[in-house]
Amino acid sequence: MMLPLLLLVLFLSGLFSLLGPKTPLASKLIPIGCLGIAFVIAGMLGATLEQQASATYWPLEWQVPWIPSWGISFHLAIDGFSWWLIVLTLAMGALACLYAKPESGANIYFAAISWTIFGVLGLFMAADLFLFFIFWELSLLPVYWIMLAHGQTGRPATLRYVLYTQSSGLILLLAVLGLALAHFKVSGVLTFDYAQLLSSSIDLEFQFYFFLMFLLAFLIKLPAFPFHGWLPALFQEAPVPIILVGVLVKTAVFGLVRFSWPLFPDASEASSLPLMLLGVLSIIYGAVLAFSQRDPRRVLAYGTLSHVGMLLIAIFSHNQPSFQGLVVLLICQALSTGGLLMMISHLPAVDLKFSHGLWHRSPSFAVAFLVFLLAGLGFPAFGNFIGEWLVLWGAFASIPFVSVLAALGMVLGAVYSLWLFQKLCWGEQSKSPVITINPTQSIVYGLMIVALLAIGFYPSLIINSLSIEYSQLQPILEPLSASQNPQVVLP
Amino acid sequence: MTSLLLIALPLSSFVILLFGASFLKRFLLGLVAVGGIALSALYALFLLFNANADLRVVESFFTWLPAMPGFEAIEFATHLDTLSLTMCLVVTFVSSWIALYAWEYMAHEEGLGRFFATVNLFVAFMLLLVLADNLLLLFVGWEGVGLCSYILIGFYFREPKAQAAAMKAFITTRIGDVFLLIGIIICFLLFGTLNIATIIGEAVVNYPEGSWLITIAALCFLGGAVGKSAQLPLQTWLADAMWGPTPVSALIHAATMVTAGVYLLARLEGLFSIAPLAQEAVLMVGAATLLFAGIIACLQTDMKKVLAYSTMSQLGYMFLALGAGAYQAAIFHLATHAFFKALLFLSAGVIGHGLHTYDLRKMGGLRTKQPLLFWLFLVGSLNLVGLPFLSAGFFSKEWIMSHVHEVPWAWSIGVAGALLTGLYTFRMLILAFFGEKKANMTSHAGWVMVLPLVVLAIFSLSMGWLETPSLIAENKWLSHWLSSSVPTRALPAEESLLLLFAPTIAAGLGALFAILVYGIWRRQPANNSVVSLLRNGGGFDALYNGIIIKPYQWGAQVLGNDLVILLERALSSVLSLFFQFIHRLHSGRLAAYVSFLVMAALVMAGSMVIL
Repeated sequence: MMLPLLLLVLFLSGLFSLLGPKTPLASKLIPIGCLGIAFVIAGMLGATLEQQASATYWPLEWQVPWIPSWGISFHLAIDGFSWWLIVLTLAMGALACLYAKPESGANIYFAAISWTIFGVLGLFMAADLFLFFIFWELSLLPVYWIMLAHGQTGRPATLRYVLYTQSSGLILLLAVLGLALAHFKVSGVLTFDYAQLLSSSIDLEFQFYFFLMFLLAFLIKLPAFPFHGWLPALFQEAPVPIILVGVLVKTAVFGLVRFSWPLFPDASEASSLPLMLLGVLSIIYGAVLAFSQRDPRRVLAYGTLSHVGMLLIAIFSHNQPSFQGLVVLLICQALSTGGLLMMISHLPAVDLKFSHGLWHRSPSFAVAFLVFLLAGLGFPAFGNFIGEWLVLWGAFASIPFVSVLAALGMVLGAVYSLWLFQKLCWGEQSKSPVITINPTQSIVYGLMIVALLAIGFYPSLIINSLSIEYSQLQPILEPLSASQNPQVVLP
Repeated sequence: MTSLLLIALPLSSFVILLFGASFLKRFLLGLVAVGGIALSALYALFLLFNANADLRVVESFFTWLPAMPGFEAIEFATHLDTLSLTMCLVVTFVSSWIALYAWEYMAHEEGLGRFFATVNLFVAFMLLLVLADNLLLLFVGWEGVGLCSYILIGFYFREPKAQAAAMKAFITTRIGDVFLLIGIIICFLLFGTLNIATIIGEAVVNYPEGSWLITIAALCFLGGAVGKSAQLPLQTWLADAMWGPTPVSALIHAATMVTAGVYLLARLEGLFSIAPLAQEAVLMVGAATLLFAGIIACLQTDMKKVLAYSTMSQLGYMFLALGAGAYQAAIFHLATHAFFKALLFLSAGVIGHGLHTYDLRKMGGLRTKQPLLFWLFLVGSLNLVGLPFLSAGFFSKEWIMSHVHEVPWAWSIGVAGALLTGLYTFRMLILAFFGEKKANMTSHAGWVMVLPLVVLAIFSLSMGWLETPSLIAENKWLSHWLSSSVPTRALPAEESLLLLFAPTIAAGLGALFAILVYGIWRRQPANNSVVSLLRNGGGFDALYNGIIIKPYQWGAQVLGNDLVILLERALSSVLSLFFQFIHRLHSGRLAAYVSFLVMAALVMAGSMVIL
């Protein structure tokens, strides 16, 4: 019963924000209050998740019929993996609300944030493919809505965003419908239920086509290398709190994890090498392009592309360490990139062709900025390093040279990160803008850094809670074998 | 009695300085900074007095990464044995004296808090590196010292060259770090654990000599060590690192951080003992670097750069020892070098402080004005050259050379390197302290700066007697002390007076040559293209610039507008062509519409028939 309650809270949060008081403070308090309640519910979910012994496929679920004649039901379910993503989304949403300072139309703005979170959470919980698609679309709309409300400046970015995400949504819809129909053809049962489709026995050839369609939809949304056109434009120009974009990116990762290996094991197996290479390409391409941008937001956009490459490698390495690394990376990258984006929002427009010497007048800003950058480039002591270590190790166990190439990406990541830092924080004092950060914001930054350090030194926080009992993905992950078998290293 | 306290003391100083730099007075800043490191040094001394020669304390604090089937958990654990305690002593002692010196040297610089905070963080990371019980924890310290080095090289961050040097150092060493990480991954997959002691133990038992998996892993570790210890071909960053304040050059880029590579290879001796190919590679890297850096040091005009290249060259000697299997000798040279090179750098700092330049061509005749400084610098120089009996450098280098003797080519390179050492050291000494006076020192060092120099000089003069060749005395304290953590290696040949003094004789010849050329004839070296190539670091910078940096920047510029835009444009132009076509059909002529209608009807009818 708590699963729909969680969604209801966020839906109402959006509704109240829209219809409620229009003063800046009050309109901010509504979503923050609702997110607080949502956090409590998520905490309770986490507690029940730990106790639950899994009788059905899902450790925790809630189901009512919706369109029975088509085999569609309102079926919500979570496991350890989706629970972490839910918590992360709520945290990022809270940051977006805390940081928002919309000049006009505050209520529309907060309603959009609430409903985006509502959509994303619904997507993470959906155990029915049709429902998944509905939430997929719902999570995209509010961002589009804010962009339109904001007017002219972000037009090209808006257009790109709509074109890319909607084509991805269309492909996803076709894939979902096709899969259900193919299953119907084989078994005579029309259903969109995830757990039932898992045991489907459709043709291998069909499997492959459906896999490709799902894959394409998710690659556009991730975004992976040739489909990333919407990301830099959105980061640079969009008036939306870009932290939210960070959350939207996670939905595609979630989709890939849920819909690649479990549904199409053979097709995933067959295409894992090309996809890991695509990940390497994304890492390198993103890092190279990040180095040539003049706007810090665009640097971070391409940096995100680079990070996504690592996630792709993690997903298709398909073993226990890389899966754990994937979750750690998802959480830590959201924190580090989110922190950087928030910090950059304090700056006036800067051109990276020149040095800005921020360290002279705002040393604390510079230090915090460096810390977030270091976290992002996988410096040990931060959670991102743990994630990268687990992923690289897992990838090495499955395909060594992919791991080596990805590790080289660490060097390129350092190049653009340090270059960004030096351009912003080092140099002469004269052109240095004054940055004011209020105490609340400093506390938020401090907490984010503490969280990154905490995960870096005690990743068991996340990893232990993912362990085998209640994560449905675990059983299908390949076990690694060590010492006895040196062939693991190089076949 | 926990070894974590060693790390915790400088780390807490770092935290205080990080948050309190803007509130604390400059005096307090220095007190906290020096205090943290000095207390750590005292604690290390306390540990030493309570230890015996088979010291081995492993303390596990918590599970860092949980276990997985087939793989052990990675603990957050420290490993205190005689090797790591030796390293701790060297690191904390040298760095407390350097911090004390910096208290006065940096007194009028802006950003003193940043400087001291980073130095304390550096010491903490360095201690973590040497105390780590497993390779991943070692990697944390390894990257951490690299970060601190980056911040400190870029200390004068208004200067674009300092910025570039900082970036260069971080990126170059990170290339090595990637190799190290890959080596760690291979070890984890092979052994299912990252515990260093277990890996060494199992490797020797389970793998035959020459096993190629072990060889690859060992070569990866060598790659990491080459980056950190500025050996060929990743040596280019060290000369530029001299942009940092001189105490930093002394601490990080001479005495401690650059020796991390030597420590790593000594720690992993077990792996190298079954990978002869990798061991051979270590020997070759060391030999090549010591010769190369020695030649270049002879041509530098900047005092700090001479010292930087001599550091590289001396690290080459340590690698030579590692490659020959003389791990204890490598550690001994590491320790003596830390003291006398810190002494040299800090003395150079006094000169630079007073003259506002490190250019040897603008120095001269400092001996009469600065007698104490001259004597201190002389002590450092004689250690570098290896004056018999009086200098620690003699004993440590001699120990290395007597082990290398069984590999004739390496031994000859070592002797040639000694000749070069004598040459560049005396050249520097003569240019700076003899001849006519060219400039006056505007400021003089106070006792806070002089005291560390005196202490370091005393250590440099005396610590060589910890380990002496049997021909001179039967002092074997160091090898006895280290034998529980680093295996003792028997000398390959009978000691003889000729072998014992061959490097010294070579160095003496080099020194004599320098005295003749620079002291008596006053010759300047020819200025042809080969000389200027060597003066600029042997052309490595130009090479890497040409084949890596420039192409990368160019590629980034070319790709800067993103290929995807081209894709989008192509797609949109195809679509717009299509729309134009559709648009053209709407011509407004009735005849055209009717003909379309008929054609469509025909097509539909036709397709029905066919189907």
